[in-house]
Amino acid sequence: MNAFTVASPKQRVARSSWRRKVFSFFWGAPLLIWQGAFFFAPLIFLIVLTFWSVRSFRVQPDATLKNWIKILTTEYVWSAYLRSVVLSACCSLITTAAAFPFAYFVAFRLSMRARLFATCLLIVPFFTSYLVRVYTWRTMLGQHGAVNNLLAWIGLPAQTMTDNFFGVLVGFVTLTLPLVCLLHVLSLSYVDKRLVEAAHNLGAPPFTTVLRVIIPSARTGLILGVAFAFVLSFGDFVSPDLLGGRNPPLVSLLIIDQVKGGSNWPSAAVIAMIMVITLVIVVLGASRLAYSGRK
Amino acid sequence: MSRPRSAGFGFGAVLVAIYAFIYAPIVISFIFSFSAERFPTIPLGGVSLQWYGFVWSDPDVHAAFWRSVNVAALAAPIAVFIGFGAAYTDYRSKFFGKALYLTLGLLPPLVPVLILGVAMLFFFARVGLFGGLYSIVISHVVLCTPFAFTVVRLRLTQVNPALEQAAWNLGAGPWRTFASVIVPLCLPAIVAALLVTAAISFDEFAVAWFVSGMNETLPVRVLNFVQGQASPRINAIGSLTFTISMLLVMSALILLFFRTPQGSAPIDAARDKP
Amino acid sequence: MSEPLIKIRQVSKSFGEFLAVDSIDLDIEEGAFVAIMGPSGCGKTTTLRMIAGLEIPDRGSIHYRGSDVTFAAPWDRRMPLVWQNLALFPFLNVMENVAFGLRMANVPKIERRERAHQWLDRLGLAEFSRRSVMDLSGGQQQRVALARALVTEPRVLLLDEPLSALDSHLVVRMQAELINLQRQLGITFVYVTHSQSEAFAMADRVVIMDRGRIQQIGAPREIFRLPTNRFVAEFVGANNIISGRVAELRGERAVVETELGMLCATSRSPLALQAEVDIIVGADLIAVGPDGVFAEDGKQIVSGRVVGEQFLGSSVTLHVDVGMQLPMKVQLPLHKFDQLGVGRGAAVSLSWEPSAALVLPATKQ
Repeated sequence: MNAFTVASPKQRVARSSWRRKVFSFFWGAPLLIWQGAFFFAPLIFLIVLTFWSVRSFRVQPDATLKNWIKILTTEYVWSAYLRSVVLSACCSLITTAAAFPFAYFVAFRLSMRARLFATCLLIVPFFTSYLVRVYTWRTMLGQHGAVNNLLAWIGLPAQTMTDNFFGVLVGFVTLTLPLVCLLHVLSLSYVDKRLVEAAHNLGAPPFTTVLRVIIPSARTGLILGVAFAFVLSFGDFVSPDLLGGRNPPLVSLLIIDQVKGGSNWPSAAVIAMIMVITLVIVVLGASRLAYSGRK
Repeated sequence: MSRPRSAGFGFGAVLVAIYAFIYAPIVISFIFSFSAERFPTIPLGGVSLQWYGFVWSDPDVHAAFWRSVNVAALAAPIAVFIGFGAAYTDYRSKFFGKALYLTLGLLPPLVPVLILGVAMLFFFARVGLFGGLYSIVISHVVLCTPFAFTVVRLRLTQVNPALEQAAWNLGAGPWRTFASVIVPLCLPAIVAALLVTAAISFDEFAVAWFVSGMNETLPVRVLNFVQGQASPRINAIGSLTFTISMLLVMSALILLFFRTPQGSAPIDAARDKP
Repeated sequence: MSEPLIKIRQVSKSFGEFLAVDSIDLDIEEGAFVAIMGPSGCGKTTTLRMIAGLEIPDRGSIHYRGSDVTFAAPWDRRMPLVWQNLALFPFLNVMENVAFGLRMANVPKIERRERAHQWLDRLGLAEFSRRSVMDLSGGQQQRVALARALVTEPRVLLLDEPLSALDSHLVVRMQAELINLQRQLGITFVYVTHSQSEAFAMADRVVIMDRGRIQQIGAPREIFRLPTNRFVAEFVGANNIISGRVAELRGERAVVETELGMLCATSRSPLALQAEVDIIVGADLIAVGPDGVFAEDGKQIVSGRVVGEQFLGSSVTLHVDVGMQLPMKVQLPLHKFDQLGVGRGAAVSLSWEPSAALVLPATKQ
């Protein structure tokens, strides 16, 4: 038989909960430690690095605004930035415009099983290599590629589809379309079907129903979709490289050039921070839009 | 409710167009990998397995492949250990700042890989962790842990909390309860999490490209190929890695969804057999 | 008198704003079958969990065999619990479930299996020892849960509404089995239930709780016949409650002014004149007959009209409107009811002895 030793109540609480605390700590702490050391520290360091300087090809700790000033006043940085913003915005619009009718059909007009199958088909691309897909597009869209061959066969002139904005957009859409479609399908399948039926019941034709009932209900999904597409494409460096030609550059390419090409890491850090700030603004703005007006 | 036929057609067309766009590069890549020509096009000139042959015998590809396997083999268990611990902590404890803890720990997938890659590159270089296989392992654990967390956490929501308490009541301290009750209940989820994180690590090219230095993993090799010499080798590697990833993920799905879940909702004691 | 096995002193427990248990004192003797009973939310399960160590009291102390165990971890106490939803381990088979507690006590494998097998045998589950627990019926699972708790040979067994999810014909059987087990083993059972019939059928002592407080502790019969407050009177059995004011006191007897007139009743605690009281009359202690049949010879007589009847099997409960807000309930055996031959709307007389009427001080609701 076990013996309960006589200890004061305080000692007893202390002892039993100490053992439990160690136990909880053991399981809970690793996440904090690992992400703190290898996720946060690098990000914090990135910020810190923007204030350091480069002397004789070596990066030195410092506290200067030199890097920021230089980057913010450089013309080609801003033009690259603008290009990136415009292209990512286009990507968001295109994917949303395509994904919404797609999701509408899948969510409202397909049977349960068909919907499941359609959703699975959307998930498979995540496990293919994005690199290989973009590479394949390059071969297909080239001067003598499959698409131009098809156009010639129909009798249309050959088009330049790579090394330009069109190519980059194709790449961006390849990257983001499955995700945005998935998002919209999920978001629309949560729309209360009874609202739709009620609207039809009251005589609203299908298109009006869409405008007045469905879009407002699925607003969150729509806004999130736009935000996701923007964020993903803004940070992508594969499509601008392979399908966009490297000129004129986009922000992501600028960063890579600075990093892989030279040792001016502080400058690269500044451009990276500009990217981060832009994305944070986009996400915060989207969250507010998506969740405002909710009871 | 009558729906105009044309609307159905219109929708159908959108559906087909989208799937066509998404799957075109995938399917064509697969086809091109069997091309007999150096610069494949549609229609295919001739069929050959030469590119698979080249890939198979390329020592760089071999080395890169094994590096990818090693990285995944190390990163997956670590990520699952950390993710499992976090999921269990979320399941059992309430503490001050828990929402913050979770947000911070699970943020990585939301940060663009370019930023992560660059930040890790700078940081690792500064602290001397750059350029080894371990650098890639570390960064992959950062990326994969949130996924491991999600898989395990989902499973834990199905676990009856009384089971843990029953074990305590029968004399099992916190560690023994963990080993004798929680782990057996979560075993399918743990294995699934291992498979999913292995798949993610195996496919990851962006961060690996930044922090690996000369130690290329397979996706990084592909990136270098793609930026250098174009050839259907790339399509061949793409098909191979796709197959491996799909196998890993399918196994994970089967484990998660097709085994009879045990330890779910309280055992229903009201049955009509005596 | 030896020390009680479990001593609960001034124990309170809150969950946020909600006070689940409010300063309770309870002694549990060794070898007793104690039932803790009350409506949902009365604190009975919380109390049991505090005994088991699954909750820690905010105030007060719990002593077990003389030692203070208020803060002892649940795995250090040896008070196995039979759970309401059973909590059997689905990844272990029947034998492994039963042997679990022994495994945690580091009993060697062979001995574990032997002891587990003995218990499975004793409860008629030997043939299922290798089966998965999910394959068993409700009653069988219940017995596995019991075996799992008892195999460790504890001094105390805690049970949290273990029969509440079973079909009614099983419940009666399991009750008998539990009573037998307790008698044979001589261990202490602490049994939480919301069912009066269960508590009364099985326990030596019943503890009635309401809203975190103990209302009454006593043998089932005592509680049934001599409730100490209005709540217990209403909760237990079919009692009629008539409110009034004390008009006269004559030793143990009191005359109370009520809306039915002056009624005579027995009091077991001191009362003051003009005090507000409730008179409790057990439904089975009232005689009923056609109107005007009873002679006034010291009994209390009231007239009324039958407004309802409830068939309970071997007895019938009549609801009689006597002019109060609620009808009076009268319980009589089926054959007497048949003899009476009264139906709905019939005018009847009710009569009872003053000794059958209990006066209690009115409690503020």
